[in-house]
Amino acid sequence: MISWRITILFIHVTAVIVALGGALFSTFALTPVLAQELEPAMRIRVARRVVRRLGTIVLTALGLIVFTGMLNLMYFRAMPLALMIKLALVVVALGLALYQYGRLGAELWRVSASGPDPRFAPLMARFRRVGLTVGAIILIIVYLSLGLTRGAVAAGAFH
Amino acid sequence: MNAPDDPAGAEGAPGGASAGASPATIARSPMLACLTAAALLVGLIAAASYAVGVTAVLRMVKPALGGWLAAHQFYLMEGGATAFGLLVGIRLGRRIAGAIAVTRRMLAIALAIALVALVPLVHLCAAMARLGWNGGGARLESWLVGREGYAAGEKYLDTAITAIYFFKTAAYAALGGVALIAIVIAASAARGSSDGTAGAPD
Repeated sequence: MISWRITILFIHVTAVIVALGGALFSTFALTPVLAQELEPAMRIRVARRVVRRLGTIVLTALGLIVFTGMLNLMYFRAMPLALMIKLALVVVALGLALYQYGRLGAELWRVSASGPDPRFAPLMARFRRVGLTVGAIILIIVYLSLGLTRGAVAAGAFH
Repeated sequence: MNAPDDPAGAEGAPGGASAGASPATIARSPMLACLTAAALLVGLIAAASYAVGVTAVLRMVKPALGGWLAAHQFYLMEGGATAFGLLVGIRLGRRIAGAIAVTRRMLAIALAIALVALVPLVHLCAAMARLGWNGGGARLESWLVGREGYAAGEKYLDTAITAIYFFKTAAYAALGGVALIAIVIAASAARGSSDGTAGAPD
């Protein structure tokens, strides 16, 4: 049961769960509660720290996904169409996440450094929109991965 | 996400952009451009040598050099492609994330990690490039031989497959380069969060 292949696959899947779960929790649970419970100044203080910490988690997870995905490919030893589409989507998701947490996140941090700022709300709205897009792409990648895995099992690749 | 090592970060001044430039402007790095060009040159020359069989001629003129190149040209091609791809990926990641998120120090760290990881990545990216599409294989061969004759057609096929292999290796390495920038940004943000020096005080 314990093998390099399973370990790499485990890290890969865990990184997907962390990246997707963290982003979804922030968007659908944390942000609405912050908006309802906190005053604007405190909300911005909390939001900017959440963005920074979430960026650390999501970008690290995406980096791990890419490198463990490359290693997984060595065990898979094939490149079906679904996998090519998946790779293309990974490129798009990674680029969008870098834009979201790198460029937008840094702008949010800079703009909110001195407290409430009129530029914060539209930046945050764009940040959320990009985040939802990244989440949707990751869900499609998960779907494609399940199809690939089932196909590989049917073809006897895991025996 | 200003890096904690950037003392100007508290005032929002970017670490990577030149003074007076917009915070989102990426300062051009001549060193990075030179490294990218050098990697591409090494890889393409090795690829061309491998595809065309230059070493056979070189052995007649300089036997030692020809022998050395014959033994190493494939690895030079793979290494050049991987290095080129990594540098392109790092530059692309830097451009997407912006100058505020990717300071010069973070760029140097990413390059250092890329250098250390280059050898294993060469093997990994080259192995990945050998999977899947190789230009259509038999169909391409048939078209080229039908068009150019057998001898020339086979030579063109070798060149085409080598070029495809080179650029596939570089593409996978570029993905790795972008992922590397993502990890460096994450590490910098984590360091800033953990030691409390995250830009301006709250």
